[in-house]
Amino acid sequence: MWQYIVRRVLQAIFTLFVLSLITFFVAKVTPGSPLGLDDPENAAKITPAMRKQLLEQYDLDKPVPVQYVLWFTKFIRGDLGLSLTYRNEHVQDILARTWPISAQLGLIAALLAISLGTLLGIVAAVYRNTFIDYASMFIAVIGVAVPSFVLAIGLILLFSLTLHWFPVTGWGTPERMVMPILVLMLGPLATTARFTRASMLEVIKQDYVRTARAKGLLERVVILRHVLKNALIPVITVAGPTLAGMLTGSVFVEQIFTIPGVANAFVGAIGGRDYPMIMAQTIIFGGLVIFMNLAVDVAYGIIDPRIRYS
Amino acid sequence: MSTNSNRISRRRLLKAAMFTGATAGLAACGGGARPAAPAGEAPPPTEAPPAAEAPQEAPAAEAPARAERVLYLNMPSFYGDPGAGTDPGCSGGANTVFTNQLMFSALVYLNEKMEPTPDCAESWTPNEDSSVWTFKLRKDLKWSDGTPITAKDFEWTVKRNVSPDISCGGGILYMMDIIKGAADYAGKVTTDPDTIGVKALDDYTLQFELTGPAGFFPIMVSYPTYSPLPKDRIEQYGKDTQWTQPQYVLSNGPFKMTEWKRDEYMTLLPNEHWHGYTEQAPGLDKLTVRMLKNQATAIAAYETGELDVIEVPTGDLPRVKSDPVLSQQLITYAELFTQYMLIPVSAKPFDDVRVRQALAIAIDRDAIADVLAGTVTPAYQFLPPTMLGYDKDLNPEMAYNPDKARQLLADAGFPNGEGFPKFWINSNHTDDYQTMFEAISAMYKDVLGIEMELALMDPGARGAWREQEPRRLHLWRERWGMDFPDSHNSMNFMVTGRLKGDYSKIPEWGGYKSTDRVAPLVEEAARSADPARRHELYRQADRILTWEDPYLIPIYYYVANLMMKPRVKGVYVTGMGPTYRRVSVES
Repeated sequence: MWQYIVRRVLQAIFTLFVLSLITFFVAKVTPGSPLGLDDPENAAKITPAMRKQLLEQYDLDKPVPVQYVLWFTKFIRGDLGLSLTYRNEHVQDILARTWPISAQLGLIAALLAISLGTLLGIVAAVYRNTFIDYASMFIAVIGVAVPSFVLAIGLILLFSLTLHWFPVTGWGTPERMVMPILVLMLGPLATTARFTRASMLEVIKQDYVRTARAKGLLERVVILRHVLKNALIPVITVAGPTLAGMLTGSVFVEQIFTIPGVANAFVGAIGGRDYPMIMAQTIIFGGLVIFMNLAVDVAYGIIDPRIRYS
Repeated sequence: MSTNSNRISRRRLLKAAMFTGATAGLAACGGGARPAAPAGEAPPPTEAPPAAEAPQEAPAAEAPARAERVLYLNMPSFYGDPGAGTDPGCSGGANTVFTNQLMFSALVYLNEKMEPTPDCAESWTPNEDSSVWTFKLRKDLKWSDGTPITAKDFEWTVKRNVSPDISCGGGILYMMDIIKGAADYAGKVTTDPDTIGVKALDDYTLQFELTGPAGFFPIMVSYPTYSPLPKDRIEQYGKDTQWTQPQYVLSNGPFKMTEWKRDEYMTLLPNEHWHGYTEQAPGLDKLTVRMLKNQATAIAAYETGELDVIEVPTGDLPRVKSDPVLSQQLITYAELFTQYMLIPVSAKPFDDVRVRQALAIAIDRDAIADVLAGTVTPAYQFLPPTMLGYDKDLNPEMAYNPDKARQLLADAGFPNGEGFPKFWINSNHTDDYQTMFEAISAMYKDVLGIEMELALMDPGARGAWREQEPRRLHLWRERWGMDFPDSHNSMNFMVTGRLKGDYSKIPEWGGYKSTDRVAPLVEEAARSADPARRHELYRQADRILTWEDPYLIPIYYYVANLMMKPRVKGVYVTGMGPTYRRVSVES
């Protein structure tokens, strides 16, 4: 098992290295340049001398492979470079100020989504084809079907403009966190609920469940210990990447509620050709997805001892 | 939707309820008529409100806490955090200019009529040909920490703002290269800052030597690059614009920054050392600039009272206009901002004047203004209204005229558009541009029988698209928003930035035959101090550029729509936008 984890981590490092290479070169060959140098609206304002000066200042005048080496040597020392859109900040400082906010928002939303989603799925499966099942699945369908921008506007309309319970924007106090968390969690909650329900129904039909019932176990024990545990594998498979996605922030939620999170800070990076920001974003998101997949694989083994690592 | 009752938030109602009956009564009647009534404004708590004005509940006015008068603004145009910093020496973006004007006072400011008005400078005089300008400074100029400012600070700042070492590399050079030697210093032709034509003659006299006569120079120095900057702080914390952070920055304007939460808000307080402070005490305690990027959120925040002034999102304009309350708070003004298409004047068939004229009059500008409801007005020339050279009857021929357009195209050898090559329009991609160019493309098709394809893309990709082989015949969308309200700004850009600039070196785009007619007109207008003469010169230049030998096809001028709460006072709005130097709010 430990051997397996070590091997997977080494693979992950290699994957990230290749990812960084590809991202760097793709970003560089994409037409356009940072600092609005190639934006025609700025053309009158940037003289050739200024242009040269700026390119020198940010090492952009060097050949791309040299730029990559410069970036890489800084990166392994923990310096992600100076941002080209937030010009007086290092990318690691931007991450330090924005990521905790997105992570907090994402973590709360993800925990609520996964726990409530699982609960909803269990309830729906246990009381399948009853009113409870239909109600739970109705919520789930709504959660999948309603786009988050409609939901966000709806919540603002209801809670801010009509009821005056919560302020529209900002971050930091509990009443400002309710709406963003609701918007962020509803989709994953619905997905989790549907996966749990389907998977539970699959397992409930199995022979060992009938055996468990025949042994005279309490229904609660049957459901929680025998059904749920075996039904969780597909749920965990989805939960890993979902969590990775939620922890890296949502551009939409952060912009609409003016949350100073990581997605909000990084959204301008691609349009602004902010190479250090693009690189950091890719590496971090890539790393998180790889890590979550590894965690999911390890979790399989804990839940289902039949799964072997080789 | 929003009703009157929505306009007072719970928070504010609660706050109001804590104060005297008089204040609460005022809030309830929605910012009533009596300016003297808010008891909170009376400075010493012992002083009773003016007897005649005070309602019967007046004794309650000795409530200890007074309402904090906070103004909530948003960054302009939903730009959000000015990531690149707020250095006035790099003051290019709208959000930088916006914060600069709150925090810094330049040599002059522009009043309600956009005239240069004494700010840091008390008076100014030109030499006989207006190429040397001498500014007399006020003697009570101070930084926000109370230390004095002299002409030396201005001299240092100008030299610093054109230095190639500044974080934006040469600063906003096009706003400063009118100063003798500035361009050479920025372009590293010389490294001696004393070759730049700015000099402190004594502590309170500042002299500029310009590259040539410029009667408009006093208007130009209203721009933030002509504010003094704190030399000591910049020398100590100058790297990476760190000095603009609240813990280091000193400013000399109406407000000082005390807090900047990136991507959230900035807090500004009235600057008690500002020279305007003693003349008139500020009518607010705090100004918060928030950084909402989402339009839907911004208008919701306005309606809940979390913002006092917003730009109205285009989609909400019809609702705002039909709402009895919100429509009263709408402020619509014409921006000095022109949208147009440049023509490759040397490429066949656009080298024929008749083809260019046909393209200009086959556009139904009123229809486009209708589609982009309320956000634009049709433009029939380059210079915007209120500027010298603007004349609503300049190009009477340019009115929408399908028959004449067809005739012109037929005269040029393309009856019904037969044989006319396909061409593109290159532009950034936004919803509004898509709508507009689909409309123009349809008009060209219907009226002239010619094909214009849309090439809408990311702004950074436009240059590469243009260079790509095989080269495509195309029009080029561009817009020009004025940096200071004098026609020189626009016309000088057109001559030096376009007719004689980089564009003239591209084969299809260079070789504009009327350059030699336009340039002397613009140069003479820069020298002249006579408004009537200048008006005539710019008029002629504009007519050549847009009709006689079209170099560009004007489409529209931007119209801005603001909403401002009635509690906000003392703000005036010009073509350059709102000015907040004397803003006050009722609590």
